[in-house]
Amino acid sequence: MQETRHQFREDLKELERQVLGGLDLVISQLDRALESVSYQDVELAAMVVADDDRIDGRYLEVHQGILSLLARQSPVATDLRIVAALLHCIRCIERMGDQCVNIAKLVPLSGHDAPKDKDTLDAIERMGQLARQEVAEAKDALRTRNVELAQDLVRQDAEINRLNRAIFKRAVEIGDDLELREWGMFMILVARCLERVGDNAVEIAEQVVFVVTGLFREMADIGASAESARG
Amino acid sequence: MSASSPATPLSQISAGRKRRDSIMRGSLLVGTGIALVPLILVIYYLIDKGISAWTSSGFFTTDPTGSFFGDPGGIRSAIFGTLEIVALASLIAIPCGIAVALYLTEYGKEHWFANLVRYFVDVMTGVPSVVFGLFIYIVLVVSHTGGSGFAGWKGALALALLMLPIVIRSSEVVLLLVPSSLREAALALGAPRWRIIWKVVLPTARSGLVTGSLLAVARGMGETAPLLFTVSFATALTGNINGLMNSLPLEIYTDITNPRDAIVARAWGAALTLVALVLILNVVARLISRRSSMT
Amino acid sequence: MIPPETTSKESKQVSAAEDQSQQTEAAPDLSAMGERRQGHGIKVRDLHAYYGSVHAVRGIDIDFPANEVTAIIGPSGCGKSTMVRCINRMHEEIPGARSEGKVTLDELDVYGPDVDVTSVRRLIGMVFQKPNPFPTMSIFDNVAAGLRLTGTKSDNLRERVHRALRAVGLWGEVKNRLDSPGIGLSGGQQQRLCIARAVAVEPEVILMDEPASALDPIATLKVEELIDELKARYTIIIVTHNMQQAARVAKSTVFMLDGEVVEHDETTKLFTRPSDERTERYVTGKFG
Repeated sequence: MQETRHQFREDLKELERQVLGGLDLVISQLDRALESVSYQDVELAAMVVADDDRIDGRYLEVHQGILSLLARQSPVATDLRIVAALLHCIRCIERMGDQCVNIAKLVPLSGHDAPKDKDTLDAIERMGQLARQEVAEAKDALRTRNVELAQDLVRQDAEINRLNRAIFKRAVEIGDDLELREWGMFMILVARCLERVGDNAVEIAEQVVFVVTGLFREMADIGASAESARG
Repeated sequence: MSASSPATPLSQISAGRKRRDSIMRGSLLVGTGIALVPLILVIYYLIDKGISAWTSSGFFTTDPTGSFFGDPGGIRSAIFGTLEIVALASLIAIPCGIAVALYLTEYGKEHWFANLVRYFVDVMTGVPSVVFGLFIYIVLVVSHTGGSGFAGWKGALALALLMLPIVIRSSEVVLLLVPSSLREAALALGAPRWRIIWKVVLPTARSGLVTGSLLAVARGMGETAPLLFTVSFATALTGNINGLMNSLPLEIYTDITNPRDAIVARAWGAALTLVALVLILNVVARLISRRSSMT
Repeated sequence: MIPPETTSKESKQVSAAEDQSQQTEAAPDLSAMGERRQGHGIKVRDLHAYYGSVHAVRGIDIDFPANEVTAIIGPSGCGKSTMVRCINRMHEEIPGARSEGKVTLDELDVYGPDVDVTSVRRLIGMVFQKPNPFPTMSIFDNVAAGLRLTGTKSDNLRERVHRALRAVGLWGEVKNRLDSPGIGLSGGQQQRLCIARAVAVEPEVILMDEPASALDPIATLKVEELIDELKARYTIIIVTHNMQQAARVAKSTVFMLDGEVVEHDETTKLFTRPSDERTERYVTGKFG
């Protein structure tokens, strides 16, 4: 079968590559942000903040590319769904980048040699690992159009949500200790950022399902209802 | 825009090509000249010899006297005779011819019968005019059909037979030029076929049909042989189409061998008149076709 | 008996209405055609069409709902024009062509044994790809042609012609030159003139065979707007090779390939989430 619309297919593939590359950028930002929290590394945190420009730049590139493609090529059917999904995904990427920046900004605020609570730190580390895994899997699902993998992300996200609530409870517990109280509250904020990263990864997974099936369903709701059923 | 090397210049026409070009052009001009020379000579002779008859008194207003001596008379009856006979022939040939052409383009198309008709029409265009005259002579004149031997209407019939294939051929060409999209549009509106022909096809082809018919008429006007065997010759002005009549071709035929110079001059005058009539018809045809063209 | 006051009031009302109509002359005004009528749909069942021995249309079953625009798309030679021409029985006008199957306009069988083919075509009008106004007729005569050619006796011929011109939004542009030749108009205007001609006969269904493919983009948009207006009164079937046009204009779309229907669905669904792989490949331009 002869290859038609060669340029269009090339352009579309390139946009997808840029989005996948954006997810790589998010993963590296997340890794560094989490490291800076664990080791109270203020310099590393500053680098994370500065590097967010790259993600913002990527967002603008992809946005522009999509507009151009829509204007010039009138995509339909699967192509149209891919374009719409890529637009949605790059926004999620931008937001995830912002969450990493928020985490990094909390590092200098939470003090240099602050006393730490091991339980909270463990939970944060665990959340960070899960979030990183979710983003990596979201990237994989998008790249391979894997619907099962995408749907599995909801399950993983449930775990992050649980950890988020646990950290909150723990912070309340250690709130009596004046030295730990402020640090604890900052950790609540970090946990929230990580939870948001997880949610964005789930949104990307939803887009994968949309591209493949043409149906758009809020998977987060499914995950939440399943969880509340478990109690 | 590329290349550091200079662009290849467009090559000049070679001297050999120029020479061949002028030789070709020259020979074409010579050929055209050779073809035009007889035409010009004919017109010149006609005018030269005929204009004196035109200017003689009573040329257009009196009939030929037929007498050997004295006043030879004019050619009035010949002109009227030609007009009457050709008018009748046209009345027969043109509607009939257009009808056949309509059959061929609208109904027959590629049907075997239509192709057969086309074949015969083509054959008829090649038949010498004298044959039509003889045909009518044997069928109608010898048998004295209609009460008399030679008659104007029989001449008209012979001319009609001559004109018919020309009308059919030219009309068919013109009708085929009517875009089929027009017929389609009319069909899609729910029109019956005959109405489509009457209100769409014929009006669209009208100027072409008129031109073709006028050319057939011009041809018919000048034919001598058919009239010779069917109408014969008379000198008096007569409205009786069922009897002998005068006509321009026969007037010329009769007069040109006369020993009297004045009568020979009259023949030339008649010839000039005939050519003038054909010319007028051609001009009219051209004016009509320009007034309402289809393209 | 009408008292004089009422008549003068009426005439004032009429002129007020005329003033108002002048403002909207440029827009298609279907209310000019009178009160809304119940539309009629077309059903095609097991349609086959042949050109000699070539089997161009192979067993088509489609429902065209009343008062809706249905588009038919497909690559060249897929049989879409042939199929549409079987609906108003124009296909059989081609020498050597024949068709089998059933086409019904509501309950009327278009191919019924006693049915007069010209009456079918009066009920099912057609607009062609290349605008074809009659060259020897004026604008007025062109629109009236449908009525005159079908021998429809009409004492309000002028009114019907004016209404048809209003209905297609051409009235404002030509009202002062109704006697000038129809071919003097621009391409887009000529096509709208042909639509007016079809509409003047007051059919139930209008078939359109690539009506805008010979027109420039602005004229195309005007024709599409007109189609949108027309569907209120007529059932419209439009064949188009321009997918974006089908997407803009039609409520449902049929995709044909090699003489068969591959997919027939709501337009939005067919263009965002087609069910058949072949439809997907065609609309995304992977072949065709």
